Amino acid sequence: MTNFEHELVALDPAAAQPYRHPDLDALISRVVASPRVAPSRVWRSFRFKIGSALAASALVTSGAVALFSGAGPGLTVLALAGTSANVPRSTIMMVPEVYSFSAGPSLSLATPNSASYPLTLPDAATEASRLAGIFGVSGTPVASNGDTSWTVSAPSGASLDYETTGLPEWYYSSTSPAIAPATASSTSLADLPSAATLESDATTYLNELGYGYTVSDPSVSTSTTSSTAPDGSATTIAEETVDYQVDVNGIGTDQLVSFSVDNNNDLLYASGPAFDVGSSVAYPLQSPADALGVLNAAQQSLANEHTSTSDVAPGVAGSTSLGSSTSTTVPVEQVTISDDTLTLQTYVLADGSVWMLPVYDFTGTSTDASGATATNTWNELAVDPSYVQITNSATGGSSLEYH
Amino acid sequence: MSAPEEDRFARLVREHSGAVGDYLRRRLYPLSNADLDDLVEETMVVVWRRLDSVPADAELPWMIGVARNVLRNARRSANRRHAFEATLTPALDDPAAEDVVVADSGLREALAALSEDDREFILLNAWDGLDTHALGELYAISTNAAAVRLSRAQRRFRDLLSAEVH
Repeated sequence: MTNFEHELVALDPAAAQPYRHPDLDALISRVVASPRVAPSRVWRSFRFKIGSALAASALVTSGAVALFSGAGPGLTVLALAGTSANVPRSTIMMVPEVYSFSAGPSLSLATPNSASYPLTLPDAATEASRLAGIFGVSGTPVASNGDTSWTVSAPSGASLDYETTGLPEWYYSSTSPAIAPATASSTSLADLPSAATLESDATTYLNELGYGYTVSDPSVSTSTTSSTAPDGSATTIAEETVDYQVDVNGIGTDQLVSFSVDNNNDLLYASGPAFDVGSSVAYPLQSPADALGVLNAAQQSLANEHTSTSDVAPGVAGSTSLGSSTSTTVPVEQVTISDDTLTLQTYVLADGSVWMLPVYDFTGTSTDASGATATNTWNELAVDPSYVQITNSATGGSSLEYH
Repeated sequence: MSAPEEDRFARLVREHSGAVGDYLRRRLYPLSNADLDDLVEETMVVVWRRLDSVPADAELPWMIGVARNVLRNARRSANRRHAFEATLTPALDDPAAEDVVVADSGLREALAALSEDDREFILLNAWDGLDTHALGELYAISTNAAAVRLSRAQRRFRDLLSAEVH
């Protein structure tokens, strides 16, 4: 286990109170007394206290559902299957806080121009076979998981996996299972190839992949991983990785392509998205200021949720109000937005189609009641809200997922 | 209803209810013990109804998958029950969430800066103990793909932590 894994384990909220049901025998008796076949959605009343998680979940829908009526002629309303774009990314676990955003002097006043892009997705089996050829994995694609996963495996242990859930992604690994680093080929970072060599080889692969996107902003990193075998012997392995940001029409997206090699410059693993870019669609955008207003409205909803449920962790100080009409005991952190960047992010529409839609990345500094500051990023869809409808899937899609 | 089915269900409950409870607590914290018991039981009701679907070689990840859906549905149900839930109070022995969660702001901010997918992969591995095979079962992807995604997420997390330090 590495140092960071030790640190993560130390953060585990459940570590201090490992769960033990008070009466498993009674639970088992109650459950087995119920019929095995039952309506698929029978949920008992929940008595749990709403935390920030719920409030943040509500924020997604309350803050982003928009009207159909505003859609102009020739443009179909984008029915999103769910989005977390307006959930503050700094909110993690159950920290009960909301934000009040204000525009700093450097916030863009003008509404930028950016199109939206439907993505063209390749046939899975054909693409898995093509990719396997590029990475030198000989074999026939085998489907699993209801045809959502395709795997090509070579006798050497190398494999090419192609996953089609949402935006398709491909994964190459030189061994199976691909617990990176895949091979114990080096013990020193000094043995690794130069960044220029890695980037040159990665460019060759990218050209062969031939997708309808470009890449930029290469980020080269090295790492070592130490492990201890059951016999007590220790192994330290070095690898070098280059990550590229995927761009569409010159705009950065939320997608990455990665290549990792060992000290012999042999490819250990690689991964990236598989798509081509369809014809652009010119959905009108809202201004950065208007998008910030949407973010604030969502935070207001979050504050209201807390107020209605009296859900404030004991001992929280710094009560204030968000907006003029609602007083709340939820601590509010003031955030001054210092930068906004237009990006493209991946969205799966209700009809299953996959799009790249423009999104504002807002960077700002928040200050809590104690005066502590932190810099974070918040996202908001840039498409004019009158062209967007958020739908909640019956099975509980990602729109209600919270971390 | 046959005895072998009951025996298997009882074994699943005894072996995995702790991990399921921990999974739920980690993602909806703080919870009173009674509330947590309710969510665990909801999960086990689904396990019982779908006992024939529980894969023998991936019982825990399958049950974690059920718990994820229970959590989602619970949140939606709770969202419609504001008036009822307004009467709820936290358990007296629950520490404040921030006492636990904000123990290390650097780690917290590095986690928050990750994508949701990366963060969930890392936490399912580090907190819930799911290995790459189990992650593959949970996400319905191959073990290899899960391993690459986990490795990629861990590297990004290390990079973010490093950036925090410097």
